[in-house]
Amino acid sequence: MKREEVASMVDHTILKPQIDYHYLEAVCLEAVKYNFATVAINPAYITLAKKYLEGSNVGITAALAFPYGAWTPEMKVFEVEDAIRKGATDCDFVINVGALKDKKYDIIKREMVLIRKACKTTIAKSIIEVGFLTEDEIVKACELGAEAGMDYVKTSTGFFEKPIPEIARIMYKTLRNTPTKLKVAGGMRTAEDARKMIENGARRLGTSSGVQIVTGWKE
Amino acid sequence: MVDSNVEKRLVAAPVEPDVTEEDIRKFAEELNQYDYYSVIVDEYNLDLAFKLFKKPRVGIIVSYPLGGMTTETKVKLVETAVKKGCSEINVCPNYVAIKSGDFKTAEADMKAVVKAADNKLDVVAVVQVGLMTLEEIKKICDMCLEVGIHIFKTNTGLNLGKSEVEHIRYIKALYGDKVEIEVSGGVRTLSQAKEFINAGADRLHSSTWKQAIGAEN
Repeated sequence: MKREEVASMVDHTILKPQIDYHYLEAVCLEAVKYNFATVAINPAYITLAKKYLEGSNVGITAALAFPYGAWTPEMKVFEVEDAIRKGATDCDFVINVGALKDKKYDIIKREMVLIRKACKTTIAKSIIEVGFLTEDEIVKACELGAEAGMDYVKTSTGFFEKPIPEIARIMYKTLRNTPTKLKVAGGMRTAEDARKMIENGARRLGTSSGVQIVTGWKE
Repeated sequence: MVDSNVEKRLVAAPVEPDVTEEDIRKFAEELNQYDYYSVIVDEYNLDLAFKLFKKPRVGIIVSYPLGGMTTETKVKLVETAVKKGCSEINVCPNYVAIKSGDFKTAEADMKAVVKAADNKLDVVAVVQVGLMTLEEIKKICDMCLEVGIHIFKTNTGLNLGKSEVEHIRYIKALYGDKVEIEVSGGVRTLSQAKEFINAGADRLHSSTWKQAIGAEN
């Protein structure tokens, strides 16, 4: 796989709160330099990032209902609409993990249907937080995401337990006959880490190590 | 043995990424045996919390723990909290604005939160002392006091730093009784809880709350 192709999968992620605007700007400029898919940020900084990214093809991923996901569907839709209005091209939202574990699938279907509708052509990614799920729950969460027409189902927020390639494989197997793709996030530091995830079906990579991954990539 | 002076200051929070209805039920059954101060939950679990916990002091987290939600979203959450009858909110300010020295943006954000709270509930601002210099801590507290917030929570936990007794002493030395302090992040045991209270903490949050109030060793 070509280096450019890997770069086009990277959501260059900066979510930690102890940074300043200069740091955010530097991350945005890196994304432009390496032609990453998007920068992934907290929604309060979309307006700033839009300015830093002006004139480039780099999108903006908003991290929504982050990192707990335990909001009512109405609250989630409010935040999604607000993020899109401000300039988000991708909406990564955390599903209601507790409701999934409680098998209250109607709640998750409802949030996804509403968010899909609110997103229109904006890319929607449902984060399922695999570190807290059984294999059956992971499969169910992927099925629900595909049924609702999510563009991607995403492994994790990156705040808690990191995903392993075997988990990506399980998700990919559930998604591969649907239009929904797999995003892996959390724990990828090197080109080798990324390669393992791509080999197991990842088509978007959520990472703060995008530069190391792309510069270290062997074609 | 339970230390009633610690127990009455306990802010408990069944906030975990995978918290289920059953988890909250169990949490409530245990917590309801004690004379705690309040409970903080996620917005989704608010109705359940009002039903299950014995005290009406229930609150939600707002932009927790990163502080990076937009002002519009923070306000929407606060409005929901007011509508549902919450007693308090734990809100994280815009830390990136603060780290950038952009107190204009950070203050406007908190001002909007206070306005939405409409004096109907206690606004608790999370200072995130573990990530801040002493100078930044003072600036955050000054900014909050300026917009009418006088209750400070020290930390969020989640690998974003720990609270030290010195943080409590520092804030108390600056503002005395004008402020109330809730310590969080670093309170594991009863002896630690007492130490923080002696330093001036008014309330405390602990994920190991049974140990912190002395109900378990």
